[in-house]
Amino acid sequence: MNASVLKTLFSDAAYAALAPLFALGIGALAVLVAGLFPLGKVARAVLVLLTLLAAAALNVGMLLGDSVPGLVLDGTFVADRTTAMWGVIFTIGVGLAWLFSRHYYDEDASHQNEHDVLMLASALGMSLMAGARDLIVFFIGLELLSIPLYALAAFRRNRAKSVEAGLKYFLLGAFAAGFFLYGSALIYAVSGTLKLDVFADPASRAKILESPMALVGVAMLTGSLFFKISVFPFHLWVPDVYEGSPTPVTGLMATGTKAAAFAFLLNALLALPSSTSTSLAIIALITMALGNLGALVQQDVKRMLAYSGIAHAGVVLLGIAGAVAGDPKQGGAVQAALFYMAAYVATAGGAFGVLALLERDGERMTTLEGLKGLGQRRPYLAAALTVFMLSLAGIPATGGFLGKWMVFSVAVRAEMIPAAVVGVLLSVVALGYYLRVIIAMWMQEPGEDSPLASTRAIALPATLASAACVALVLVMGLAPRWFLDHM
Amino acid sequence: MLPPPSHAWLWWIPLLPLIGSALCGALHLATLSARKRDPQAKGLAGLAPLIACAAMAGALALAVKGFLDLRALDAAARVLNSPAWEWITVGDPRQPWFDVDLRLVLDPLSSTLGLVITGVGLLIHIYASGYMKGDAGYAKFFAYLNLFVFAMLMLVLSSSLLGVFVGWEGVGLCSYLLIGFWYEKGWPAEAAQKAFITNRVGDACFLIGSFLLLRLFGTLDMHEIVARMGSDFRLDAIDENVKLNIALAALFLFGGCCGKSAQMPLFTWLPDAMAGPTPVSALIHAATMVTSGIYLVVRLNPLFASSPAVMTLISGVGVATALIGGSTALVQRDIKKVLAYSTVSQLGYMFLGLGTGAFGAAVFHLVTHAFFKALLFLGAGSVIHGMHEEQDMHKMGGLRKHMPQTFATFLAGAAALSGLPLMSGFFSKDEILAHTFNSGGVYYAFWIVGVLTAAMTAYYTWRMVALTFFGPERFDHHHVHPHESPAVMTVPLMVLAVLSVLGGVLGLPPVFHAAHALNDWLAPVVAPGVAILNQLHPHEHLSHATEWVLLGLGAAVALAFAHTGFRTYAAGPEPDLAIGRGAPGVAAFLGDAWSIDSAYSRVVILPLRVFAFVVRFIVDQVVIDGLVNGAGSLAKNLALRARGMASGQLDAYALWMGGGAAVISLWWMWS
Repeated sequence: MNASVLKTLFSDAAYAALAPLFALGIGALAVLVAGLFPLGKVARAVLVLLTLLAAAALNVGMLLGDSVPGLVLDGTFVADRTTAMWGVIFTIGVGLAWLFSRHYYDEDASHQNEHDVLMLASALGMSLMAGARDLIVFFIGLELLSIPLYALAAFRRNRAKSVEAGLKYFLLGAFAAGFFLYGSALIYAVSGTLKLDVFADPASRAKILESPMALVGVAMLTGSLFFKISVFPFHLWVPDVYEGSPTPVTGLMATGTKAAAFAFLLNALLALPSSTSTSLAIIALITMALGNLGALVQQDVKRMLAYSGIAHAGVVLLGIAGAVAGDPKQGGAVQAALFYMAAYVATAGGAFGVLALLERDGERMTTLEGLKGLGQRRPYLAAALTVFMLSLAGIPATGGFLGKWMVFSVAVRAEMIPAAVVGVLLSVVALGYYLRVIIAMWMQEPGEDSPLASTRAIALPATLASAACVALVLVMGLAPRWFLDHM
Repeated sequence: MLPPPSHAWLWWIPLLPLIGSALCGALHLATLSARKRDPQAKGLAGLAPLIACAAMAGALALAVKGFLDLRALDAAARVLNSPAWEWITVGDPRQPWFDVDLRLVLDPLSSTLGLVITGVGLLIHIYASGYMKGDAGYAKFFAYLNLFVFAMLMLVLSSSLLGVFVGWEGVGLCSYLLIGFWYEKGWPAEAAQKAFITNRVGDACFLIGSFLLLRLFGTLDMHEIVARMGSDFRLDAIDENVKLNIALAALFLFGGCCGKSAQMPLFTWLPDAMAGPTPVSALIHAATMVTSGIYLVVRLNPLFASSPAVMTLISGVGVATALIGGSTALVQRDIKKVLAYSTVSQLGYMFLGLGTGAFGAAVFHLVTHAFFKALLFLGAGSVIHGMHEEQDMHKMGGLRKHMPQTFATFLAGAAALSGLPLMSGFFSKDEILAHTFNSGGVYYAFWIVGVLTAAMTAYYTWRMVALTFFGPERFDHHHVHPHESPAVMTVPLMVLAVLSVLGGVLGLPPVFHAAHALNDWLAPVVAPGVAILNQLHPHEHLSHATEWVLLGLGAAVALAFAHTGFRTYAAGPEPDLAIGRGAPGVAAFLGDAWSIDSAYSRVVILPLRVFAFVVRFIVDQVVIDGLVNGAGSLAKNLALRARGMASGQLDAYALWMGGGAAVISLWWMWS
């Protein structure tokens, strides 16, 4: 490789584009090394916090800056305002999971350092996924995200459920990764390249998609992404894994991972022929129906949120279907999905966080029975959970409402009216189970086997994180201008 | 188009109650923490009604200022516009693909509704400060009540449909909170849930309707939509497909109105909503929230007017609801249930009027109904208060001696509701029926049902008066000592009584040779819709002779049936028992609102339960688990099983994934 190639590869723009990733990578290594030294808990926590803040600041700088690096590294990675916004969302998601994980573990607390390294590494993977314009780069990001998550899911290694969740996630995740590689290989066989920009030109795109082999390849790629975002029929693992994993990790899976997979799926939209929109819409509706009906019968709130997460993935997929049906560049599907996921990260991240806090008080707390009378025992926590439930249900003045509104209007603009009507009706069903949580907390007296009033104070990091989530949900609902202006 | 946005003060109209709500909420939290230390502590909850009433008075003053400002303008220019809160802008700011500016617009329609909401609302707030005294959630109650007023004002002042929807959901949420206010009793919590979920069915229709409008017009601003209905969307300028889409949007929006305004088939939540405290029933479930549907139809009048089929449907649904509500009220024993079904019935009248294109008349009835129904509810609350929470009229009687002020004001409300001549309800109901008569065709049938319902209204109203205030005293004198309510409760009753009696001057019929003040006031708002209606099927005005006949008929029906109702029950509730013995089927059918609720139980709830059962036990446990397990055993033979796995389902999950990818691949290759 000669010097001029190296020069174009490692240009200033490339460094600028990769700066947030460098920050995360260096930070993760620093935290790992710091574990070797007898540093205090606080010092290590500061290191993690600094890493996340640095990554967030670099992304925000890109959002606010005059110019963006754009395509770098020979067209395999892109850094623009959209990826920077995704980067902010990822750091928020990981930051929330990390804050809620403080004081969560008891017997495994001695490994908190490794835990934090794994979380930072997964953030790095997410950013790589969001910016990838090349299938191999994306695959590296996917694995960089997934492998830490497998370990995190099994982090409570003395608990059978946690280990089972980790193993299940690993085996099925490896299976899905196989799909991805096989699909990439098929696309490479037809097109001779792994870069996504071959799909940008309509002529070359049409030529590639003429071949059934390429279509199968695209379908395989889509399937592996559907696994990550938990869309029918790739969603079956979700309830088991979500329930078994440590709750902060579940929050990370539900928010950050999903957001990263959506980020790439929106990029890969170009590769989806518009004839697939009907099938995508049908899959989206089936996903919404299964998620909502599944959530209706759950007694455990953590499992209920797992099913509700499936339904939410269906909603975003419906918006994507709308974008595929129309011209993907126009119509705002990217903004709608971005905003929806940003709101969902704050909402679901906060909800799982609150559950993580309650869980420490005893295992039964995350059932509906255990939540009874929470409004009296812990009014602020119950109020925060109420805000999250209202946002998940899509009640106005919350970010969840606006996201839903935008996604459904994308679908309506694409003339998918029956699908939008069914989607809106299904989201009415969803109100049933969100409302049950609110009713249990505020309108029902504690049952005989509900936990007694806890005297344990909530740790500062968790308090900050839940307050931040409430603030984010409300700000995104009431004054979403900043987010929308910077997408 | 809208005038320049120079009236920022409009924002203070909804903001004052919002601030009041926040302060009352803070007081409630403070009271709660004080009570943790000392269970008897009252804290500062006593301040809450002062704050809430002050906020209401401020909002009322601003609404009056707005009204006076509007009056000073030329009729065609009566629009005040606030600067926009640029809520959502997506895409390039110069050419956003989607943007919503929330702005408040005061025009004759929103000004009228605003005055009713703040005026009647203030009276009810004052009344509630006496009614709710001593309740553990005193401050919380006012926090909710003020929050409701905020949402209701947003609903009528917003120019964007999305802003309306925010208010629409907000009032639904507050209604839910207030119906379930005494949730410890159990059934209010269930009633609240029923109200919320039924309303959400309507809300889904509202959303779909708004999406359709957004797609048609590219905007959600209602003033712009109305303006464009008169320009590039004129009926002769659009093709059948667009007409169909407009009708569809109108239909869905009307579905939303059916939920919020308790029309067939979504009305069953309103009678249950009486589980809330009585001031809530008066404010939310009689005077304001339930009239949002009427407001929306009047606001978007050209949209509805351009689809005659939808207009006929609105009238039909309205008159059917009026009949069902009115006939059910005939046999209720619970005083609040009589008023609740009566409200359902009167709302039906308003929709009957809307469907004939009598937008002004519907708003007129909305206003007078707000006066007299709020009065009747508050009067009933005063009775319930004085009778130690007794609501069964069979256990009342003879209260006129014990509660003279409540009695006198209740009479005024009853006279107005039953449409006795020259009362406010007489004029507004007559105007709607006259319009119905004048529309001809199927509307003649609607008119007959309307007159029949008017007879029922007079009958059940005076039955209620007789059972409550006349006849022998049927309560247990040892335990119940009826007493007049304090002045803080009776003074609002007197104000409302005066309004109920004199409210008719807002809209005197043409035969009186006086100006119809309300119709003239609303003319600029309803002109586009009226123009479309005249274009579609021109109508002659009713001749004075016909109008005199109709007025006379209305007066005669009201007087005759009021008399019959009163005479039948003046001696006590025996006739009720006689009906129960003589025609138990009829009594049960009417008492149960034509068994519609139980029909829902059979047709909707039971299948849902069965469906849920099927999903839970058959689909989930047999089919899904069976598929999973079956696929699992299939996969067992195909692949090596991961040994030592806690669950055997993993291979089945993988099989589903592989199968899914295969199906998607094949699907895409063929499509």
